[in-house]
Amino acid sequence: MEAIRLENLIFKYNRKAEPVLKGINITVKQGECIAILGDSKTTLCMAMCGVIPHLIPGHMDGKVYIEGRDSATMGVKDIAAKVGVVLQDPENQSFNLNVEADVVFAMENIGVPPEEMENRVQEALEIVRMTPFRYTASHQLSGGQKQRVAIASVLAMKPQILILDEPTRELDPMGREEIFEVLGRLKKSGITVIIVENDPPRLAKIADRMLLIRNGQIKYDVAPRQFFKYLYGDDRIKLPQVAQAYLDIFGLSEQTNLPMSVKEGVEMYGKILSHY
Amino acid sequence: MASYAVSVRDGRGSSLTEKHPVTIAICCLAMICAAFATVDITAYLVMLGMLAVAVLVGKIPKANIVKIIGLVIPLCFFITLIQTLSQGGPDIASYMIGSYAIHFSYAGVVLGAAITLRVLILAITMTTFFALVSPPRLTRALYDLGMPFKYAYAFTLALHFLPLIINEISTINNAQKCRGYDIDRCNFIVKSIKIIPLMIPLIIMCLRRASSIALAMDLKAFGSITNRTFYLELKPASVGEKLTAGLFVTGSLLFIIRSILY
Amino acid sequence: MMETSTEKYNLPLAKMSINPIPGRVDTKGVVSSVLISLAMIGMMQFGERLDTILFGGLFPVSGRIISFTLIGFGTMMYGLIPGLIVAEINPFIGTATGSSPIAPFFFITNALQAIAAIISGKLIKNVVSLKFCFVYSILATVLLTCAYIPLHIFYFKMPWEKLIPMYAFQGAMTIFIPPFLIYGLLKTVKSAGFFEE
Repeated sequence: MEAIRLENLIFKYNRKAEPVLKGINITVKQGECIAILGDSKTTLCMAMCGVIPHLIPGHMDGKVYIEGRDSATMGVKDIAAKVGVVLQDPENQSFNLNVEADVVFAMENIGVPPEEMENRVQEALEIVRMTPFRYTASHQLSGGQKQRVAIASVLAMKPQILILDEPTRELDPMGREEIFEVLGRLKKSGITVIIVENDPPRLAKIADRMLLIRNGQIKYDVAPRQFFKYLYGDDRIKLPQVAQAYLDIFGLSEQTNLPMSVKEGVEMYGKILSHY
Repeated sequence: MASYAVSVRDGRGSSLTEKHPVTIAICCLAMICAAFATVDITAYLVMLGMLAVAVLVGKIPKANIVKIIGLVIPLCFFITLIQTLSQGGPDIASYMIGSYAIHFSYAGVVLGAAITLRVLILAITMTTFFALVSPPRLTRALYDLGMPFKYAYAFTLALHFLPLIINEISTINNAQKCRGYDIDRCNFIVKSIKIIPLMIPLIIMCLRRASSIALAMDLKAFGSITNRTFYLELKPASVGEKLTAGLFVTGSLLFIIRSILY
Repeated sequence: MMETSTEKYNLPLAKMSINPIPGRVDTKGVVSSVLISLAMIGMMQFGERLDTILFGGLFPVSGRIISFTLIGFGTMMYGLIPGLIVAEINPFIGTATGSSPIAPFFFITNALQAIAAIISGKLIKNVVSLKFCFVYSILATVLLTCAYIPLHIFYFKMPWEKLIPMYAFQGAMTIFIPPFLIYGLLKTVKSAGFFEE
């Protein structure tokens, strides 16, 4: 079953002359992990989670279906229960005085019965490895910890779809590692994950498909291996180091099978070197 | 900025913090109304004694109380000075400046002392209230009293973001210093006038951040339903609490009537 | 070159199509008013010492200039309810943190400033004008002085003849300085694109 489907989505902000999305068609299956790179990716995310057209004014044509339902006809509460969104700045996603209060906040807003909340809090904190910090004051947490709490607060709503808009942008390398570890665990749990980031090598490790948006349209929508083959030579997209090195040494051809990890790289280099 | 949640969880919670916020509010209001009704120093000292008991039983940080006393001193020095100079009756001292006589009256000193105690009682009572009632409990109590949740929640939001805004001011101050605008080197009179290059970037920053915060809250369905549920449940006020509140109100009313009649 | 504009901006500026009472009470309006209030608290730190030295904090000048500016700004941007949120958070924080002994009185006096802004909006339609800002400052000064009289006379037992020069000084400061601050702030916020139709 499809989790999200976009049909010929066109969107123009009120104060802009040109649409930023020009006929986007995407289908995301349940349980898939999609990475989005390029231009207007945040706008695309906002359309996928129903913020456009409910909260951000503009001109929208086309349809966005969330689990088969048109997002324009759904209420904010209904969308929030199905689609959890994590934004860039962890400071702006914490509103309460401690971790526990932040995690229950969204559940209270959608009317989850109090007797269910305790289990959900424990589960959500366990997934993001923040259980020891349950009663810690929010201002005492690091950036990575705050972002993990933001993810936990969204997971507590038990959404079917999780959209993350550059969740590691404001974080240091340690924080980034923590978030990608969490995403790896989430992917295994079967939740549909849509992630926007500017770190293609890390995304390639968890994404089933990678999308590139250029000039408001989808240029590529392929598996990571193929994605990097297409983008070899494009200075705007960073390839995984092992893939970059492989292409620089051996060049690109139709039959090229790119290594995506150090382990794969060692195997491939090993095979090639064994001929000599 | 101390976290109320942390102060409860790390063992500083007390029996008073578990009481219903409305009960605590009624007792505090009764105390404040009684303080308004009189200028009797003895009565004020009794009230301060009651507040001291509340501070001890409620395990309220002494630093808060010392801070408020420190802030009251310049205010009350000024009030006492005005009263001393303007009240009639026997003098405790008098001086001549040129041909002009300045009289410091005893009645003025007594009245100034009474006003000082009154201000202290008001300040300590309010501090005690907010120390005993944590923001989530206050929010829940206001909601139960009928205030729409998004307005009641504004207080919790304010306490959460206050340290962030204070940090932002520091950042803006440093950024302006890099541009040669150093407000910290000015005296306190000039400082209070030269805040415009700090205020405008701060407001713009606040408005931008508010958009982002509001979006994040809306994405968590804030305000989307009227019958939201709560993880924190307020226990209804017990019979003992209601009796205590009733006693405070009755005592305060009797005291006010007595003060008016006598 | 003098910029001439025939555009009229009515209250609330963040969404001019709605009624100023209650104003913009969606999540953005509430959150913006909370943050403006916190900005007000932060700004007041700079003038605290001056106010303490001037009359022990009983007749704050710097604090009142800032509160006039930012409560007025908050009400002009978002309407009455957000303006009241801007007004009430400050005394709440002041009381909760024990940073001002007379903070509880500000619950009333700050609310009056928001009300003054709404009344000024009914009298002068174009909010982004010095005329509006002066009308607001004068109205707020009058309302606050009337509110402070019973406080000073009955609560602090101050002799009324001693209050007159202090009110005069305070009034002069709060009538002539905040209008320019508010006007400058509104122009900047307008250029930054925060006004909405």
